[in-house]
Amino acid sequence: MIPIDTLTEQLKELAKKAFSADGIELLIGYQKGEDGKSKPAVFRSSEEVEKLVWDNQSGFNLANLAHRFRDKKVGILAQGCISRSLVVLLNEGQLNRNQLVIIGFPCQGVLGRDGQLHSACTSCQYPDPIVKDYQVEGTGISNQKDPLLELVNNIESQSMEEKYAFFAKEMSKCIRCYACRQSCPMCYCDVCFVDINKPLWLARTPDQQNNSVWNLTRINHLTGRCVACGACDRACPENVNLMYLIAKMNKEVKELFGYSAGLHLGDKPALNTFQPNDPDFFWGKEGA
Amino acid sequence: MKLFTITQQDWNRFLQTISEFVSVVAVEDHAHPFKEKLYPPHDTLFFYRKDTPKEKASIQEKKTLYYGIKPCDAKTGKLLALNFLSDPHPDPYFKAMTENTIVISTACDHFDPYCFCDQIGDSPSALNGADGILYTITSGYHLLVNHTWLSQQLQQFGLTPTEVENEKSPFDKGNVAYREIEPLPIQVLREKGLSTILNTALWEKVTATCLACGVCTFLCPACYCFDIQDLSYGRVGKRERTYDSCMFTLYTSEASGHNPRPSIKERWRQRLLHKFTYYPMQYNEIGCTGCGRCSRECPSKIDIREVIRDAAQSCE
Amino acid sequence: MPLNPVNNPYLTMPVRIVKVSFESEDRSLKTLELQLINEQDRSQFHYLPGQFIEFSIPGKGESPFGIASSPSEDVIRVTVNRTGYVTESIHQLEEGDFAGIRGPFGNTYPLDLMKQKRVIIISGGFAFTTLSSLLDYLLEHEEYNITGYDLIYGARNPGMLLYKDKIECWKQQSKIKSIITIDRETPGWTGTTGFVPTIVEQSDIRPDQAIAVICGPPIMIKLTLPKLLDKGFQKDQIFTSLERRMKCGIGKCGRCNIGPNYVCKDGPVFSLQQLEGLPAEY
Repeated sequence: MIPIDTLTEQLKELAKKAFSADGIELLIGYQKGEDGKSKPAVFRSSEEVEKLVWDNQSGFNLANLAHRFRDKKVGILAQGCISRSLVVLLNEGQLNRNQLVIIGFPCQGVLGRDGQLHSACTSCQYPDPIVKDYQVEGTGISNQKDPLLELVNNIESQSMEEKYAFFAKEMSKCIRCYACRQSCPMCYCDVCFVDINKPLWLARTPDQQNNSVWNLTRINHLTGRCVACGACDRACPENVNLMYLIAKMNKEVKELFGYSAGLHLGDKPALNTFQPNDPDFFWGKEGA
Repeated sequence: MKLFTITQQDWNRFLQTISEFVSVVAVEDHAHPFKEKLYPPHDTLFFYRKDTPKEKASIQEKKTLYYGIKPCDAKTGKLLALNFLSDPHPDPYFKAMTENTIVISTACDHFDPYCFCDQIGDSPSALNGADGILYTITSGYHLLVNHTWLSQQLQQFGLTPTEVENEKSPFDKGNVAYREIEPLPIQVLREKGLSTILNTALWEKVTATCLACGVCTFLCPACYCFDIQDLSYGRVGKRERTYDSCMFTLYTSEASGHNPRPSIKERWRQRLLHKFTYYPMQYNEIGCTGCGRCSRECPSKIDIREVIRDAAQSCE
Repeated sequence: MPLNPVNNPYLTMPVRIVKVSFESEDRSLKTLELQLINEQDRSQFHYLPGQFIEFSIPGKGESPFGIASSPSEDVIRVTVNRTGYVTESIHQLEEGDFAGIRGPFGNTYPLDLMKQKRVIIISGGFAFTTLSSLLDYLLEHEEYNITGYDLIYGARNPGMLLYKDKIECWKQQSKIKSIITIDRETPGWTGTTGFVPTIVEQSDIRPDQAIAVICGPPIMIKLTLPKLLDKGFQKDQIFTSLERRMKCGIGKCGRCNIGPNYVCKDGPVFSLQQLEGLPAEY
């Protein structure tokens, strides 16, 4: 893998090129914060790009900000998961490819809140950018195993009581700050269902019951759209295990529709298309 | 104020003794603000039955002694009281909770990269409105007490106190964290914060990466905003209050669709100025304890110290 | 420990709905007259023009409404615009139904300042409610020695004018100079037409020994204020009653602040001078 400093230098070079050759108005990347860790940042000139960094603390999904600045021509750093997010957003008509200059690089993985390589990264199968205009050459993280899938398989083999106990414990931690939603590039709805009070779809009360409805609804809205970048899981201040729900949902989509989100430009989201041979067991039996 | 010296063993025995009168709770979780104990994330205001206008409410009466709280967190009671207990309508729920609570903090022995209590004029050994504070010494603790019942109990336990004039105890630079560091320009915001109101460039810069989630406010020991909602279960129900956040769209949006704070820029301005300009204007205290949770837990790692500096710099 | 309802500002006082009537032709506005049920509540409920109540329907929630009745009346009158979840439910209430109220909350119009002055009331749409209370109150209390009134009140069309019967009575009073206007010419309307800001500009209202009170939609206020300033009104002569999303009504829940002031507690009535230099979050 490329040394972090070299990677940062190469990203800076390409970013400056995007300003001079491609005429981007701003660049979405990372810079060092007061705590010495990297944080998302918006650079408005090639001089500002001197502050650009990438390190294993760069766990914020920048595609989120691409959506925010979609009326501008922007440059954006993207490894596998961020580029996949961009692909989903492009496929959903949320971004304009001509307005994006994608600086791709192979990903070495980012740390979770516990200081360990994040579970999304240890299960990552796509460290390299899917779409890009520039590319830093090299190899990224390579995983032989998929620990998240193993966790899901393991939970699936448990009894209903055990499954529920695990789920309930995770849900009871949630404080409903919506950091998961806000850090997710796919959660771009202008008005989220929990922000409507006429009718009040969901009580604000942060108890296990309401939190379960919140999290399950969000995960369901991400079906066939989630690229498992793990930004929501890393954003959660309460360490709710969102990755296992996401992994389960992605596994279902893969098994039912043979689909993984964000791998091809021009793909239709799995739940937006109908094929005659789509599985239909969930409709229930005739006459039942 | 009275100063006691107590061994670790005696302290444990003392806690056991008083547990006859109060429930004793050790606070070990510092990731969550202590405010949750005085002002829970969701709380029932009253229960109702639909067919009658009769309503009832009750408040738990159990007295609880919490110890092990960090001094920055202990300040939560003082800051929230400024809002909740202000006239002409003091909040009866908060009042009952604080009256039923004894708070003993422990002087802090380290700073992490996000701590800044010392940069806003507090210190890791300040009493900050707590009923008592423990200073760790080799043989146990020095215990500074500002609570009549508690010091009576300590004396009955067999300890002899010395009178202390004020909380500026000799322990400020002793076994507690201490560092030479430049204070934050909070005085500038206090005096001239209002001059940033129309500074769009400042608020655009500050909010470029803000996601508008509620982490900073939910975990802030000084944030108290709440929402009120009715929860119905058939013919019965309850009116409940839950934490709310000035970072959320729904917080100020009106039924007509009009929102006086339409974007994250106005909402960040509200959050910063509320803490460092409006709160001092209202109560002569800043609405911040320097605990650093808002920056520590921010998904975008926006550091409030940077924002304070940026805003102060742009003050005219 | 049971809470004493007298000391608990979150508990509601039961009221009976004694009268319900449609106030506007399009049926979006309803006026309700409420009577407190408990004798104790009645004896403690005192208000002055400008203040508001929180109207509560168990299971639905609460909404704030300015009190439109005069304190001398034995009912509490509110006019409710059907816009949200709670107001929808309030519109479904019928005579004889029960509901709850909390209050009165907020400050009042600057009654003492109005003594021996001319009072200029400028209003648009259904924001006229507390101004009606003010006008009634000042007319009832001669000790204020109001030297005269100017009333400029506008609505989209004749059907949207509030309290038409009352306006007719006020028109008979020699002390009141009234201009009732609707936005555009409508068949059957013989009165003035034109938007409030224009009418204010054309009118002969003068700032000498006068207090102007202005209530209405934000855009109307925004366009009218410069006209008043042009006419020589000082910022401490102009008062307005603000509306914000509210929950607690007592300055605790946080959301309705404008700078260091809470609209529910320090307002809703502010002078233009008080709002100067604060974020225009209204």
